[in-house]
Amino acid sequence: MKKFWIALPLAALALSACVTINIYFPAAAAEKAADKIIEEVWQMQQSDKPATVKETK
Amino acid sequence: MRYLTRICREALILFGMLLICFAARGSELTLTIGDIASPAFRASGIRLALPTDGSAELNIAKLNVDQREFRRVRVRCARFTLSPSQLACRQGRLDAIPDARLEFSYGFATRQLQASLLAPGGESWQVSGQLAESAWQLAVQLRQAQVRRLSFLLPTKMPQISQGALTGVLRLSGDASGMQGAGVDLQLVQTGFSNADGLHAAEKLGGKVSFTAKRTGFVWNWQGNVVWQSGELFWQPLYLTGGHALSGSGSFDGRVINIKQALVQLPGAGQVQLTGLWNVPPASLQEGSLRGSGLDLAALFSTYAQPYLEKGSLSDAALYGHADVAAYYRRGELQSLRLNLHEAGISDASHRYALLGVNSDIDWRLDAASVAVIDFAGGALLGAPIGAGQWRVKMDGLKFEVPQASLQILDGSLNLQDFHLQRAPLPPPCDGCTPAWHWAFSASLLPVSMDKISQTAGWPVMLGTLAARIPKVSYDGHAIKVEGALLFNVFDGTVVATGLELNDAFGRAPRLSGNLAMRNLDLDLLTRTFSFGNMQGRLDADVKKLQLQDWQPLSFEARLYSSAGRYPKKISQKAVQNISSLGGSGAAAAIQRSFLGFFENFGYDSIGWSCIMRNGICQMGGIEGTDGHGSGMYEIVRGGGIPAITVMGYNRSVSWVELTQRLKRVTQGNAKPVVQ
Amino acid sequence: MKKLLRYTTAMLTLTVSLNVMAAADLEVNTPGVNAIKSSMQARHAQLSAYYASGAVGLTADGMIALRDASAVPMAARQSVNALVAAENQDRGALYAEIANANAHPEWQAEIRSTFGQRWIQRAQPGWWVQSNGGWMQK
Repeated sequence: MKKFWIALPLAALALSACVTINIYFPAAAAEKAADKIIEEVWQMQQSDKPATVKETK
Repeated sequence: MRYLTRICREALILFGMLLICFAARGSELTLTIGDIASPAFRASGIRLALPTDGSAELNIAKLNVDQREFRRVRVRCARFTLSPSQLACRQGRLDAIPDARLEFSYGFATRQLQASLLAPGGESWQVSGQLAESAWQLAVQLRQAQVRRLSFLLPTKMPQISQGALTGVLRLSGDASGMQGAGVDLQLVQTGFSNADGLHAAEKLGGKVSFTAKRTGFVWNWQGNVVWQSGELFWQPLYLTGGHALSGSGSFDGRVINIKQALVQLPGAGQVQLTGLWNVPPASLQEGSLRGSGLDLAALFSTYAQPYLEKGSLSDAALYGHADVAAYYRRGELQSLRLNLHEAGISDASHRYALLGVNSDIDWRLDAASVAVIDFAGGALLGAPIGAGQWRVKMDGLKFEVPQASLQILDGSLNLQDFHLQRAPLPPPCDGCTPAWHWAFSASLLPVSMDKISQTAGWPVMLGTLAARIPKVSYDGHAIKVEGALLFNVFDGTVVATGLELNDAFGRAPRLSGNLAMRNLDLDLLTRTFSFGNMQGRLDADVKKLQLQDWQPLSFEARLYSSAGRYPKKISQKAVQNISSLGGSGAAAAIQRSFLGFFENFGYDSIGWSCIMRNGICQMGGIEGTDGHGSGMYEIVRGGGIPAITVMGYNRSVSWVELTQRLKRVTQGNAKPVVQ
Repeated sequence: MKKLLRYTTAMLTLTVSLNVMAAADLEVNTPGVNAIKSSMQARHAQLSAYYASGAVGLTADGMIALRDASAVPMAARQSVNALVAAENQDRGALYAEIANANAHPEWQAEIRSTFGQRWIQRAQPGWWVQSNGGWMQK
């Protein structure tokens, strides 16, 4: 039981550390932003937009 | 040319060896030689077969000329004769050019060489030579000779010749000590070449080349003439068409090419005379001079300079007028430049700047000081016209100074003092820390009327003046910084701009930052100018940390408030409605519409409004200290006098685009304000 | 024990809030981005024909390159060259501007590489794109 309480914060710490990397550069948001700009610059119709914008977490 | 003679000699050596070591085997003579090698030429697996029918066949398994390799080279002679006095090949065929006929003969005693290659379409290559050691000469006569057959002479990294024909003659002569004379007289037609990516290519080139060189002792004296008559050339980033010509003469001592005089015809631009010393081993210009008069600046700039300036602020510019130029270059640096400008000008395609009718006689030297007087007839800066003027520029090497100058702008004038321009390295971090031009000056702007400025800028007509006293404006290669203040006398009050800094000034989206302090603006004048319902009183405003990008607000912290002091304070019913409508459909003022209808004007005690703009959202507030109402409401107008009115806002955040659109609707007055 | 629990919860809360931040959109609606975007939009009308003919291709690093100038008449090569240079200048400015607008100038390289992948992925069939250092046609 005691071990569990020690392990939990450590796991949380590890998790937050892991998330920090994720935050360091928001890849999904950047892809979304890139797609938005690309559509405008290339004046693409929404219809030919491939459904590849993945929601990552 | 030396290369050609070398090949000829090597060919002779080959024949010589054939003679010495052939051997009989059965009814056919076969001779094999392992290798013949020299620095530029190497042949291996050589086999000569002489059947008894009088023919001959020469096979070379591998032939290397320079960096090129040919495999299985085969020459067949239908009639081959070899006697102690002569070697001859009649009705020969070269496998590489199957439809051409090859003939050659060489007399051992006479040392006469005759060779010819005839191909369909009237193409012929004829070589005749007298190859005596003491005095040899070689002539190559070409008629419709396909240029691509010479590809093997060019280094492999050069563009590949696809078509074209040569007609003319090439002569070489010499003695035991080497070549003594060379002459070329060739006409080139319909020549094209290109490298794989098409960045270095030409089509339908036509022209004439004549060149002669004679050796005296160790020195070659040469003269040449190249006329490029037709066709087009793209040599990234230059695009040139026919009409160019070059003629010149000079000498060559094995290390340095001395161009004693050369004349270059640049179509549309004029003539340029050149002299120079070109070092051959390090391929560098040791010394050179350039001279041209009446050069057309428009053609010169657009054809020869602009393609290289695709990134700078000059990439969109056009030049006008004429110039006389004399420049002298030595030891890696420009030493002197004499530039006479005749009615010259420059203007930017996006109308940011223009300077026209420039006349000047500039005599610049790297190691001496001088003064240039530059007269100009006028111009424009950011849409505002500039009047005629004269600048005296002190020059000392790469330092330029204008102690005093003035620019007539609209009805005022910008007086510059201590303008300094010099080249210095950028402080790190920077792009390779290459030197960039830095400049700085101090200036005062004598009053320009605001109605002229607003006309030029397309703003509502404002009265008042703009004046400024600027201790220092500087540019360090990145940003333009303004120390001191710009003072606008507008609306009977003052607007002072401080801490101005313009980053990426010549980029796509210039970024301006600074602070504005407005004092005692007359609300009556202000509301009239922008046709916002009438208000009376005085207003102060502070805009801090203002950031404009592409001249659009990016972020700022603005606060408007009633000026201190005693003065009449009145607000019209229309203004109240307009202020209320700025809150949008979700915003409302704590006012009664029925009550509003009775009075035209109301009294007030103070006005206050603030907006902190970030990421396109304006966080609003009211008169300072009125935020404590708990409900999130704030006072924009606090009532006072009779009849009094208080305007409350409760919507704290609004999109900046939305707010400016509403303001536009209100000031244009053609939309009815919506009061809820 | 209770303290530990609170500590853990705080940790988790922090994690969650950070996650939210990561999911948020990137700010791309600044005057700078808009100015660059409209300049690129205007240029695209001229460039699209060159993408289609293969004269210009999309590079893996989010730029464009003159791939095969011989697909363009000689007299037009200089202007294609200038278009490519101007487009690349805008693209570089765009990536820097997005990074700056989000207050993370150090993201510039990653933004560029994200854009590099997206431009290529969204390219029309027939256009030339760079992959593994070589050119291939989509």
